[in-house]
Amino acid sequence: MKYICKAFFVFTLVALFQAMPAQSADKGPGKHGEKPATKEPSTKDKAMGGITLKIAGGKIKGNKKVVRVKQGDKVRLNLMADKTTEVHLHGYDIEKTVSPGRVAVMTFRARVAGRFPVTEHGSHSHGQKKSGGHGEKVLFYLEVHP
Amino acid sequence: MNPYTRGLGLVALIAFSPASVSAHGFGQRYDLPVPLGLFMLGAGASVVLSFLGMGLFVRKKQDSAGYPSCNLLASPLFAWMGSKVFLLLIRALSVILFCVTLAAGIWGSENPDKNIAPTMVWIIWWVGLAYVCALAGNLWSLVNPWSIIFSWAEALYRKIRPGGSLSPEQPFTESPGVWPAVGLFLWFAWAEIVWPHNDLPLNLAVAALGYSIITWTGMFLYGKEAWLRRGEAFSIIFGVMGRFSITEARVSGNGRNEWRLRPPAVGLLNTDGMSNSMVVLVVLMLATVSFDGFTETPLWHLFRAWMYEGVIWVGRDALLVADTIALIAAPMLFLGVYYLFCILMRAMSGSALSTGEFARLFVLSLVPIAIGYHVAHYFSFLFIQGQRIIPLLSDPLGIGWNLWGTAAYKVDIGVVGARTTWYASIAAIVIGHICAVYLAHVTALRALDNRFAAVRSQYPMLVLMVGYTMVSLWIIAQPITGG
Repeated sequence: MKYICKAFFVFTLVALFQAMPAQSADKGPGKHGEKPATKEPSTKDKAMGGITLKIAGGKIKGNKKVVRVKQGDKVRLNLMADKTTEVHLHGYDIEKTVSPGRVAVMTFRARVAGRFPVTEHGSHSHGQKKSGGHGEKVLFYLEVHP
Repeated sequence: MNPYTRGLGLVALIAFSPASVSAHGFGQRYDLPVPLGLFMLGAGASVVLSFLGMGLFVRKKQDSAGYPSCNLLASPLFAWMGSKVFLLLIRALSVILFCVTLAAGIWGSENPDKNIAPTMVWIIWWVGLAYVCALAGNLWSLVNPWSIIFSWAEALYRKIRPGGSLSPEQPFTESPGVWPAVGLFLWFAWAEIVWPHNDLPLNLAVAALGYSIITWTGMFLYGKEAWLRRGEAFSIIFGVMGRFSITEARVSGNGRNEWRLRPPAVGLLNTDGMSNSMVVLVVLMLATVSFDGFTETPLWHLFRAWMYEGVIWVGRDALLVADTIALIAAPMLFLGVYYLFCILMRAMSGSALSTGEFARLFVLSLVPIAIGYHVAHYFSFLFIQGQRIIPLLSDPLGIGWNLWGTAAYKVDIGVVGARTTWYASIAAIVIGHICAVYLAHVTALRALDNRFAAVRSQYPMLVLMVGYTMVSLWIIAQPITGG
């Protein structure tokens, strides 16, 4: 009986350690096409020249899905698009119209931490209207880390 | 294309297709995943506290009714809450909100953000009321609009035909357990997690009307109280959550209404009248709460892609079929694991009780972990998205009204910070875990012959609980996918 008890103890520990690599593995690239965070410009660059994002075919060029910034940063997003579209940063609730051949700039202070979807409103494709959430196409997520 | 890249492509396709934007019923979470360090802290704390708890918690057999409590309505501070006028007011308010929600669903704006119905149903009622019931007390038993409207109809009928009654003369005595509620709750869970159009006001109104008809028919056929105990899924689910809370309502020996303050979680020690169907319902509740969170993890997207490939022959609705299968498989898995651990508990304690009796005895002790997880998962969601109700109350139908002057209110996303959310989440899950270990331990001491058998029976239970807590922590530490 004692051995069974011990076995349970060991099992618990094993279960705990199993959970750990699962964590760190997610930091890596490739889960569903996310680019690793390291490829992004440093925080300083973001404040100076801003982050340039090109929208084409309903996604960001280079398949970037997450933009990470630090809480308190002054963020500047330079948006370009292949056709006229409405870009909406949820949470902060900032909307900008982006037209081809012109850079639309979104500037704001990243006051609140969190993970905010940036969606595209312009593409009125009625076939894929409305699903859960907002039914808009998520271009990328802005992650503001504390 | 090798199978691996093909799989990834499929994941990308599903992850970014509009149909997968839905995570939980409605509304967005702006949470950042709990960082690894905090996750490890929570995990370590639960394991250490479990083993400490094993040695330190209650050693004596306790008698089952014994816990301190006092009647809040007896104190002048709360006495007004027991008055007939106040209760009528609360009930009327609930019925009005119910009717406004239905009306908004049918006649209001089609935009889920401008209509009160989705926010009312998914955020205020389902997430918010669960918080209230689990922490403060079973408010649902007081404000259940189906129950209130039925009793009003009954009172009206008695006025017209004195002596008449809408409920059957002979209340339903044969025990079907709570199977009707199990079926209805599964339907609800499907609507919450799988149904792609669950944020459309009209859909919600139609579903609510359907559920109303079922509920009132059930009350008419089997009696109001009988249906509330066996068929009205939310009365049972919120009731189970309310057992964790710090208050309970009851009627004293001399027929007075009492609202008693008590230690948290002790209501879950009362396992009288636990049937097999009740075990299934509780496990179903635990499984759907966890499954809802699991659908926001990257692992789910991999799994979903794999499932999708399996049922692709169905055609257009393959994704829906895959999700539905997963929703049904999750509680099955939970039930299987739970029964397996009941077998182990029985074997290790050497008790003469059957596995089924073990299952009925211990299922409620898992509830605090689910509540801890629910509180953790929806913490910032409730405080941020819940604010939507402020402008919506002024313009419930989304047609430009401004009843209370709050229609222009903008949601403040800064009310709870990321750090607050993280610490609150970890605290909620760890506290839930401690409560669960405590409850199971007390239950074992009561049910089993001696202390040593009780302690031995708790080794498997502890592993199950640590595992369940880990899953909860793991989910809140995952990068969130979808919307």
